[in-house]
Amino acid sequence: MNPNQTSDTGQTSRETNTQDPVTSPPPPQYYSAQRDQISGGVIAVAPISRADAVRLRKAGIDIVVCGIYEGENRRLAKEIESEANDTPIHCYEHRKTNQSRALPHFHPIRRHPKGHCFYETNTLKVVQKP
Amino acid sequence: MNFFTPDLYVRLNSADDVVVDKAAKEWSNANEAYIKHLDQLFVKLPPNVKAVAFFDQFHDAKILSQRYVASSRVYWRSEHEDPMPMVEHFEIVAKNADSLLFLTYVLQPRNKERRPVLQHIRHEREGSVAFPFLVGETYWLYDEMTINPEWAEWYRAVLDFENKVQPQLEHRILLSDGAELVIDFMDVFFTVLPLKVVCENFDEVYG
Repeated sequence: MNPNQTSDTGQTSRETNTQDPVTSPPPPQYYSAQRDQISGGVIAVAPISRADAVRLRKAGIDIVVCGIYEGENRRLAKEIESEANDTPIHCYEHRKTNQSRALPHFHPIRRHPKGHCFYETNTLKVVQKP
Repeated sequence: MNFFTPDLYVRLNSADDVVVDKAAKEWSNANEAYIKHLDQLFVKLPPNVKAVAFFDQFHDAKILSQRYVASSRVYWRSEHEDPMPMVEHFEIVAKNADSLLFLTYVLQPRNKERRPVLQHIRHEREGSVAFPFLVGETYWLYDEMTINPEWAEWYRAVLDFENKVQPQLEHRILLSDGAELVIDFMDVFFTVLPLKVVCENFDEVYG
């Protein structure tokens, strides 16, 4: 687009650029996780590094990837599970009530080691630690 | 499966992100539709069936056994005093992260005009079980509870039992080996037994 060209909203691209400084969203964060027995949701326990996330998944401990973008969260969750264990499979949530906060996840196709690599979606987020 | 179809589950596990994105949206819509479906069923289901329909910890439970049991015991009799056909049961024992789950279904009476009351449908591609399904240890993936309209019609037409019997129920369970169980049942007994009650270190002892 020409810098002085008027957009659909009536702004030039130059105006748009000056008014909307580029702000990068916070990158996804990794947390060790626990299942919440009441809501079926996932509790983010403590922030961890990516390397720790892989290590915990190798040990069969739940982790969760939290972030704004569902697609990015899913890609990272799959990467971690692939790195930690054998062929990961993707299970989406199976909610039976609107109160359920279950998150989609990856885990090894043979379920060994145990645990899940959860991720947040656009609408389903981790629940607060009670 | 009517909501959580095997095909949708396969697409959720596609290597193509575009396919997964589309499948994830479809899955969320299917899940919303299923929640509405369960809400509508809520008042029609007996409490014990409700306990199964709304139990949200079946997913990824390991299936320890599936057993068909024929029984000559008369479960209930008609007011016309016709002898009822033999009643059959189907039992599932499963284990999730912290409990043993016992399900005993009282199956519908068999009838030549109706479909089998217990079906084991295989969802195979090109003659073999395809990823993400895997033969070996079997796990519970997704389930759907519904009232089977065909059975309700059959009871109305043949036995004139409307409002006198339990709802004619159908439970569909998609398993990790690609099989789908379709269980037509009259009643179900459901027990959840915490593993700690059975054995303090159940997994170490029983694997």
